[in-house]
Amino acid sequence: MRIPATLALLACAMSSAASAQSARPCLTGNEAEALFQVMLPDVIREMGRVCAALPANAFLRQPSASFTARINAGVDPAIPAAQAGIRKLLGPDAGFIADSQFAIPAVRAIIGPAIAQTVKPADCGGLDKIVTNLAPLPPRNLAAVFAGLLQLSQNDEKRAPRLPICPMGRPR
Amino acid sequence: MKLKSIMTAFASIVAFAATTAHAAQTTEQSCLTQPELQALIASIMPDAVRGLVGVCRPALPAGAYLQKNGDALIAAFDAEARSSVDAAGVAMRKVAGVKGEISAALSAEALVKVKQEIGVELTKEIKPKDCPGIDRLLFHASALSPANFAGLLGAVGTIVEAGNAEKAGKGGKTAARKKSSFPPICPITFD
Repeated sequence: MRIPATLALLACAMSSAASAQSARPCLTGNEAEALFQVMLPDVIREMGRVCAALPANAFLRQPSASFTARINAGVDPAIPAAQAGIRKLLGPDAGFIADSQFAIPAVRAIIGPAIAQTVKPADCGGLDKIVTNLAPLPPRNLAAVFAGLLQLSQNDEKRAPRLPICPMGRPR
Repeated sequence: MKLKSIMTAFASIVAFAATTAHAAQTTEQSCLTQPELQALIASIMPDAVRGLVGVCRPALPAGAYLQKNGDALIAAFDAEARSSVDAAGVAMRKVAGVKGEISAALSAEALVKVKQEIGVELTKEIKPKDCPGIDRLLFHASALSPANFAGLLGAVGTIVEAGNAEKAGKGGKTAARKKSSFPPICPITFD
């Protein structure tokens, strides 16, 4: 996996349903971050599975209980903003799907593992160090850093699918 | 601003400064370990953040994170840089590909050049329009210790560098890559 490719998969997956739309509204920073926040537990768990060749003491193989509890606890508070983001990505015709009770579970079940599947084994060590260094952050901040890296890395991949994140305002 | 270009610029500056200081030395390169890479990054972070603050302060509103906390951030990275100076020297000697006592002084000279250049390079690479996004990123990462921050950048750089090497290989530029004065980054270990 390369960072831009992995993060761009989210854009690809989410934008395919709305590809017929001529213009989509952009995601606010809050919405983009919330999408990452709801997917974090699944992405981290699946990365651990994909990176099974890492030593047993690698963080991705065995995340600490406190880290796992924190990112799990971060899911529910992020759901409303994540739904708003999904609604925007799906567009007006399909936006109602975002309000379904199945929308967030579907995103978590499909996109989280799909992101993890793009991981190249050679990058597992680097990813492990990235997650290890970010692990002290609260889930909201952790998701925001991922979203920020996405926005920066999208500039590197001009031909890749882009998650339409609005120009960022100043932090709250 | 591009993430890749920032990391590539960083590598180029380090390599340039090191080779300038050691042009006449016999080279014997080995790879950079993650702790060495982290120390190298930690040592240049204060100047990097100074460069960043210099570009972004005029472009950010009064309530922005960098406006209110830029100086404290620089101070925190200064403290981390001081504690990393020995390890950064070891890393710089590897970058320069020389050993021995004389290289310690030369590596310190090279490190000064790197620190000067990185601020200049960042001011070229970062555009004012990128500042709100960077400000937000730093705000959310502000709970990280400077050591974690340097470790994070080291790991991102490792992946970016691996991608660059892979592309260079695919493009038939393997020989050029081998000639690079920047030593490869060692495989990540889990001690």
